[in-house]
Amino acid sequence: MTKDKILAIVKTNLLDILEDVEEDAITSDKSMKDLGANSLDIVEVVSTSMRELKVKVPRAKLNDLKNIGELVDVLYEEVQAKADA
Amino acid sequence: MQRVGIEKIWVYPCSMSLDLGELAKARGLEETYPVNDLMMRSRGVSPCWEDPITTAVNAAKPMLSQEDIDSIELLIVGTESSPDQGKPISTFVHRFLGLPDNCRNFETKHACYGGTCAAMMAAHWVASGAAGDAKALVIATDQSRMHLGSPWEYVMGAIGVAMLISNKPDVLEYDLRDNAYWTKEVGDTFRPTSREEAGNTENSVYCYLEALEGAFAHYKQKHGGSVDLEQRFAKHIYHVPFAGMVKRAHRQLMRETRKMSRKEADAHFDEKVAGSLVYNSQCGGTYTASTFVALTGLLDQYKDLSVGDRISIFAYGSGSCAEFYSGLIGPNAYEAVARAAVQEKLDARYRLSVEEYEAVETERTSYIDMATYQPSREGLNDHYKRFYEGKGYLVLKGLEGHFRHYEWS
Repeated sequence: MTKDKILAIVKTNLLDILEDVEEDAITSDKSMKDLGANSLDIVEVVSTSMRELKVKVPRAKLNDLKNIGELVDVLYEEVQAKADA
Repeated sequence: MQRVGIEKIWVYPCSMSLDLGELAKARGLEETYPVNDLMMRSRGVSPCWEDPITTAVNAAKPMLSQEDIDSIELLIVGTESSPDQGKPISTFVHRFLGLPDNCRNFETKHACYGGTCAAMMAAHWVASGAAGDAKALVIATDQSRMHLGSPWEYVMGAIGVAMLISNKPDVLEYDLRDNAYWTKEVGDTFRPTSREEAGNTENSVYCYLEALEGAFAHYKQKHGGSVDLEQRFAKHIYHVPFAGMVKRAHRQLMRETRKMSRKEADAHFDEKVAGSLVYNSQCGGTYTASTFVALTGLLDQYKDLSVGDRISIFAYGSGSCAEFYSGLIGPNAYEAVARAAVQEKLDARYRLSVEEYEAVETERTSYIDMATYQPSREGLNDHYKRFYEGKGYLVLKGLEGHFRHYEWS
């Protein structure tokens, strides 16, 4: 699983959950709030992505994420840790 | 096992309300925020001459006949809002409802799961047959703390719901072999002192969704690994911290089981879930009563249910414990809920201004843990005289050296 594939999963979920978001607008340097997500939307995107990837990111790691790229990074870490286990 | 379930149900949504759009406006937010983001319209507010004890009694008293009272041998009150650390609310409820001396009573505490665990323990007691035809009274009662100006001010409330659990399940029959449960210790929301309600909003949403996943996984395991939701359930009820949360929960279940997109899941929600929220969205936070309030909403809104139709119920309590279980629509479900006249009671509430609400909440907070207190029955546009006087509600007369004194209005 590459970071690009994880970004694609997060993107798909963002496009499904948020109304009126263009695919091109979703980039790693943007936060979900920048795209119009409220806190419930953010939890839904993160939860759905975690379920799809079959990983659970500790909540403390999710609290300070600044943008979509950082979310992809923590998801990638968990995917790698699971693969190495 | 004997048949068992809910024979009667009654809701006491408090005697006052606050419009959440007006609250949002007063706090400098868009008036549409509570409806659009949280799917909440108003909340229940109790005057200071009511507390979780009067709310419990006022929920149960109109529901019970003398014959019911004489047959009750178990009383359980589910709450996270008890005013006493040792003496359970159930002792007061037992006294003021005039229940028989030979009746067990106790209180269950598990955040918003307290009412469900009370109902389940009562149901297993009835189903065991050990008590013959004796009945259990289960009451869920709660009162939020003061949260003036906080972001979660829109999900607070107060409520009482009473249910008679017996071997005559006229409203909803339980199928106790069909219950699945899940526990995980988390610190999502909690009440560390008698004044505070603490926690983290986002964390509590993650915990709720994870608990749904965990409890439903157990449910699937009990059914050989998979469940066809469409075939098995006519409708769905979920724990309602606020109505908007339920929509997210249903999406999760639909994504997992039927690979639905958000749009498809939301259309399914409108058809199978949304009706259950009609009263919760007007009550505000209903804590441990939430799934039972939702049951009354479901039965009042969806008229396509038949006797024996199975519905799913997901209960969640912070801390945490969750239960995913089912019930079968009983032969008098529609009539029993119509008798409870929930919308009529909601409409009869005195609508507070934001200023009146703030004054009531500040007054309620001021007497927590006080040894002596006497609530004033003046003000609020003569609310006591209009709503209570001569109507036979239980009201708090006052506290003297920590002893609580009550009387009938």
